Amino acid sequence: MKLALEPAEQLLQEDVRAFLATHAPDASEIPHALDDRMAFLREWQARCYEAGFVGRAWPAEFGGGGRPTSEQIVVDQELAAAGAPEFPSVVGLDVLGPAILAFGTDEQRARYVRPILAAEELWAQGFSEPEAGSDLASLRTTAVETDEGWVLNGQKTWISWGQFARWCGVLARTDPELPKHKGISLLVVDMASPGLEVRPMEQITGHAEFCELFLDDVVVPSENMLGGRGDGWKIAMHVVGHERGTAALPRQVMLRTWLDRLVADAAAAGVLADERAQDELARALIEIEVLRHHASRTMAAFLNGGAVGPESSGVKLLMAQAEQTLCATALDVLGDAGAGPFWHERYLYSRAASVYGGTQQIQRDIIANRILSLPAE
Amino acid sequence: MDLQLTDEQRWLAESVDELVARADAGSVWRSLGEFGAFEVGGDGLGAVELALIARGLGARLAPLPYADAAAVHYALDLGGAAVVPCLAEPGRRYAPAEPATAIVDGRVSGEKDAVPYAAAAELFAVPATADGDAVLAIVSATRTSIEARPTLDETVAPAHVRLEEVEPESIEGDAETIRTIAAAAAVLVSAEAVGAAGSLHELAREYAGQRRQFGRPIAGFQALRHILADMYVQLESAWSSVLYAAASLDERDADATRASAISKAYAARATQQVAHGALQVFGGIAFTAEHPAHRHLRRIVVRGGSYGSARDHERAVARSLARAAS
Repeated sequence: MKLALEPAEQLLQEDVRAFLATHAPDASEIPHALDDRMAFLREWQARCYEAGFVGRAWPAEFGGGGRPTSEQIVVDQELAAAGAPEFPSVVGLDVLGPAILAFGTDEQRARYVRPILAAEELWAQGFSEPEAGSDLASLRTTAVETDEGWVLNGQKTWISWGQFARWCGVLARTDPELPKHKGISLLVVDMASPGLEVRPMEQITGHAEFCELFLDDVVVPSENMLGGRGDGWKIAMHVVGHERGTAALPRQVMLRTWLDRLVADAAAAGVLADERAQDELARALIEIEVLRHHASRTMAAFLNGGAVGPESSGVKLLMAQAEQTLCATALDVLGDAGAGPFWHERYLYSRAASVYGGTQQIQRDIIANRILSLPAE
Repeated sequence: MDLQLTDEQRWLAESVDELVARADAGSVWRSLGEFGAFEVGGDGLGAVELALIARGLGARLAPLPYADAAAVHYALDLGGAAVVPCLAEPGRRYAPAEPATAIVDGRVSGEKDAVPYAAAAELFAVPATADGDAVLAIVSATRTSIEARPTLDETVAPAHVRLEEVEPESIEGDAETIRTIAAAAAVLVSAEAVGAAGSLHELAREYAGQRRQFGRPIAGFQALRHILADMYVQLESAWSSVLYAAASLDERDADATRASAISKAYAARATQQVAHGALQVFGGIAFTAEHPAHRHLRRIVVRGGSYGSARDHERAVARSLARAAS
């Protein structure tokens, strides 16, 4: 057990801080118009990639840094602590990139991985459907094998930044006669394909981060399958667990910066002298800190060579709860008008934290089934 | 940051569990001493190891002031005595290093509250003010008057301790020593509570798999599965927090005092929720005196109040947040 950073990690931390001190964009520099904003953020990620701060633990032969995962965590925590903007490749970095590395062929790795890291090609994740949310395995999008390749038909939803994506990892049913979880495959779909339509959806926050995706006889070359025919479910579960496990520490650091902002806002509004407000802030801080303790212990098993297992579901439960407590506390302590646009947006978005990436109820099912081994329902 | 246990630490936890399972109630304390469970510092044990032992004792509800004595031994070498810290004072905010108890002409006078295992203690570690500075007076328990108070857990039996011009055995350390003992005590009683909650969770999990209603095991009902899943997360996150706070004490981290307050506040509430969840899973059977659930519940609630309640520690965190912003 060791809390302090290793000497190499300390040096890296100093490097990242020095880099951020000169290069991190101020929030006011980031353009508002969506197209300009995306272009700006891609440039930002590219600069961080050149500095060695993106994909630091990914294999060097495919464009990564070839360093231990613990170093990427140090980098991500520093980026979050500095309030640096999120990378636009988030889906590629957290979901499809790890899937290609773990299940792709060397040709696929050589083709797709580096452009993810350099933000040259953005990825989308075509998993959920209007009728297949928590019950993802009931998805209906079909892929039929023909002489030209796979022909896809169906509808996907919750496609983050679909309007900017170059590629989409689509889960489709390749063998409809097989039972639910089998017969699903993962296909890499070119977003410029004929028959493919993307429609942005306005969210409650006012942004259009998500899109719907319509597939009407979209042809996908045979070599664009990731893993084998019927491996789709296995790959999806692997990467979703990976996402839950690795996202928690930088997310925790970001929540901590929000809490610091809330304390400063409360002081400026003159409500910090109220002991009840202080106690609410303390409870929010305690949840954020315990998230750090628990995510660190869970991640330690992973960093020492284990897989990200069902324990990541506990981290996801705590992460959603900490974010929701913090944002609800902000509204309660500052009031509606005092909270202003910053907290309004975060409060609304925080309500999705217990839904996306597997609802709280799905996480509890995973724990009951796979950790507690309770007899089947 | 690596929060994984080493092989030695795992072995320690298993050995202590075997020791407690084998020894009869009267000899556990001596066996712990022979095992080296009080040998702290140097090549000996750190707060992480002490927490592992306290958790193991808590899992079996051993009625011993181990967490209490180990917290004192963590800061002072008192040769393995059954020493209990007296950190709370009646009618005052929980502030161990700001005692009203005073030393005048070399004699200690004052009142301490909620002193666990007071009747079993050989020595008390008593924070007191001498010439304006906080010090730690080690006094013989026989020189104090101990008054039993109503309690949910008669095994811990937190008592009122009155000191009237008591001649101390020795005077040790300063305010910093007191803060270290208070932080260690908060972490170690939390570890004990996590142990008691963990074994109760396991009993509830087994019971849910065996108890049948509506023609199937009640563990098949999602309402109960989710209670058991939430209990698991509360338990594991509380343990993560205890380990983190213990490691921050061992590494002399600048933030160790705050980490211990966070851990105590969180673990006290989380373990109590685990116990409440377990009682719900057991249903009516948990309300019979012979069933073990109530003994776990009592231990968890009373240890949650030892060395500052969740509210006391939340207040401490809250005050430091407000101070930092002003």
